[in-house]
Amino acid sequence: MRTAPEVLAPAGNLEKLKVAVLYGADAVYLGGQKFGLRMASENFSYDEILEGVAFAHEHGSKVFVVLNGFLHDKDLDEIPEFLELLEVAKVDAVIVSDLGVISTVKKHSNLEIHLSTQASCLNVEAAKFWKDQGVKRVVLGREVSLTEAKKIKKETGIEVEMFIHGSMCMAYSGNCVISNYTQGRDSNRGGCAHSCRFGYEMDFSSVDESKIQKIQSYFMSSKDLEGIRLIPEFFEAGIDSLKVEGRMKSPHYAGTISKVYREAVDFFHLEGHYNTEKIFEWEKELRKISHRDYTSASLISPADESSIYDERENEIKDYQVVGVMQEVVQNEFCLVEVRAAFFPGDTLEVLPYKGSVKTGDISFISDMLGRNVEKTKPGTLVKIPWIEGVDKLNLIRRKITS
Amino acid sequence: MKFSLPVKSREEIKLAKEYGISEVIISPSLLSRFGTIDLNNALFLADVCKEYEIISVLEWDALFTNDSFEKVLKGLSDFNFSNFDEIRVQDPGVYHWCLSHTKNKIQLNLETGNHNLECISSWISYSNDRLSKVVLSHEIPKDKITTYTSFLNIPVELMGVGRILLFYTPRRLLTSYHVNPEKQVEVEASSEETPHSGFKVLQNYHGTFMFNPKDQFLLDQMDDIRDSGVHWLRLDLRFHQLSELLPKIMSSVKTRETKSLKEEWPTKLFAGFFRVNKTDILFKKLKNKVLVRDDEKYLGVVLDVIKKEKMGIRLNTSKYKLSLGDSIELRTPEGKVKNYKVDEMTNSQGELVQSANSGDIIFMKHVGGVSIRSAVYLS
Repeated sequence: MRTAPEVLAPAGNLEKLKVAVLYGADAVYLGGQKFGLRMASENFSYDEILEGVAFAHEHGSKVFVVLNGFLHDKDLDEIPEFLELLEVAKVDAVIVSDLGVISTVKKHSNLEIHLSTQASCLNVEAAKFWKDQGVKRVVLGREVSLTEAKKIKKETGIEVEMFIHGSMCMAYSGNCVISNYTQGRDSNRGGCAHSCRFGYEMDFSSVDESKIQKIQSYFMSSKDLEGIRLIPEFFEAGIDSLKVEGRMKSPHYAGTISKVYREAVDFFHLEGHYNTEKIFEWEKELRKISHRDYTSASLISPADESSIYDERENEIKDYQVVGVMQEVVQNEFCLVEVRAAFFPGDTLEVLPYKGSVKTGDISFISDMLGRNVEKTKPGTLVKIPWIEGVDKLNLIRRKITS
Repeated sequence: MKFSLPVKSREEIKLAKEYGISEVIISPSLLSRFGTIDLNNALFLADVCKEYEIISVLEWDALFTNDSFEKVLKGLSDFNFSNFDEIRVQDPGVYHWCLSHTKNKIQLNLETGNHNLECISSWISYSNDRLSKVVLSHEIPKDKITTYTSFLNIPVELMGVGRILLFYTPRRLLTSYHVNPEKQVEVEASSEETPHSGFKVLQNYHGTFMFNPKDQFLLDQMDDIRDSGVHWLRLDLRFHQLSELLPKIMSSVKTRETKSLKEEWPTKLFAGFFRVNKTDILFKKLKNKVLVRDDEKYLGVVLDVIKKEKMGIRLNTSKYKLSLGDSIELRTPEGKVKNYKVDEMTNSQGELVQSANSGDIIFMKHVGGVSIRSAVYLS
């Protein structure tokens, strides 16, 4: 039997880490307060890394820490101390893109090194180079197809990780500095302003054969990657890890992608085929989280113009997370941390760690003082009726109606 | 100080020689992201360089996924690399391949990232003395360049004038707009969401590129460049009229008078990050620092508040537990600090509890001024 690839989920904070792990991620990746590419993300304090690693390991999952900024000398001076802490915390690997950081990691620790997609490793020769640098795993550039990835793995023996889901840089990763020059924020040290998602007025008047003069367009914005239908191809290519983008995204996102890809990978691994109606269910679930239009990008053949998301930045969201289970008292009530409004009489969906979605009729809602609540407010704790089969940290959602 | 210049024709090489340029960069379209000539023409120009006794550099800076890379290698099966003095590479895969399959000296373009000495040194040491120079990023300021040149054992190059590449994708982003995908096309793009306008967007065989509206121009800082130990300055005129600008540039370098040259330059100009790079200074504004967890004595977070009545707290740490009689400090998102001695707490079922651990939700009397998301610490 083929080895199943790891499902690797983003963890923007400790809550999302726990959610991803509980919903089935084999591994999560997270950032500390520095050195990564998401300075606006909540990220992890050192104690949170310790707790996150302990929690993940307790549940059989791994933790990778990103140090994947294109760091400057002053940043590099601070890395050794952080590496020491990461070793104490027993993180499973660090994700790095800069050769100076790789060299520093090797000098100051025994941590396993994964090459970030930010380094745009695209071919066999590049993978050989990075292997020579002591890299154990490469996260390939999102321009690489599954067939190419298979070859890279076969010819180099290096572990191969590929993105399977999430938002995508339109540029070769690491090859975009728009924010640096236009916003004064280093995109490759965590300050990306997402300039590729802006609307641009394009002037074609200098193009001879063009039938248009000026047009308003989102020509640099990419659709989101979705690889759920390609699970057999990922197995066949021998890909070691299936990575999902999205440390800035919600716990709902972290939970859903972990659960869906866990189930899909397990299904193919156990059954040996992919002829199942479940694919439609998984796709349906992936449409309940915020997303742009989906594309398989370059996983099969190079992404063409159909991969452009030529619309105003406006993620499609059919479902809204209205709360997170904080406590479940059997046969009595569930204590919910409210994230969005819901009402007595609503039917809510609860996403369990395994299996089908549970539904619950909300016959009452009460606040901390036991008073009835007519409409919940985000940032409150409420009690709702107990729903069979739900657990702590399960996500509760509601279909958005127009 | 020596000068490097991308060229496309015999006439341009002749002009380069006339104006004292030491090396020319020859960019075939198969290998170079902005190349416009075929491989035979590139070989021909390398011969012309021999005639004029000028260093010829083959530019191979396009990025390739594995299939494209293999196709390129097939196209190069009979290619005579030895016709060129040096090869300029950027992709680590091309670097690796050239080190093992050619005998040329190699120039490594490190313009994308590579912003620390450890990194640059590591790239150099991998080559086993095959590198003739490295091209540094435009984002490295002069004080850092000075440090690097004093440590590095090979020459460094900077772009003295030329377009700044902001964005490179293999996807052809203009094809949707009835543009012939086989032809090189350049348009201008502007956005109301950025204060800058007039970004040049180029689509060619290798994909789509966006450039900064202002060209980099360092010719008015020649003394600083020399003092920083830079050996090579690239005059990247590949998107401009070389025959028109090169004489003016070299005259300007000689007379140290750049005003008229700047006025005549076809685009706006700036010095990029040569003087200073503060692109991390805004990071501290990207999130509320008060909400960043301070590990020292952290307990948890306030999840709900009913003013003057009750507040609900979730304990988030396994490092400490909260017990009756403990003094706690509550730090609000606005930065206010409130202190409180815990004299009573209950669980969600209203039962009195003596202590609480990580993951527990507990309820206690509301402390005036404390709002949701306030962080809870042991005093």
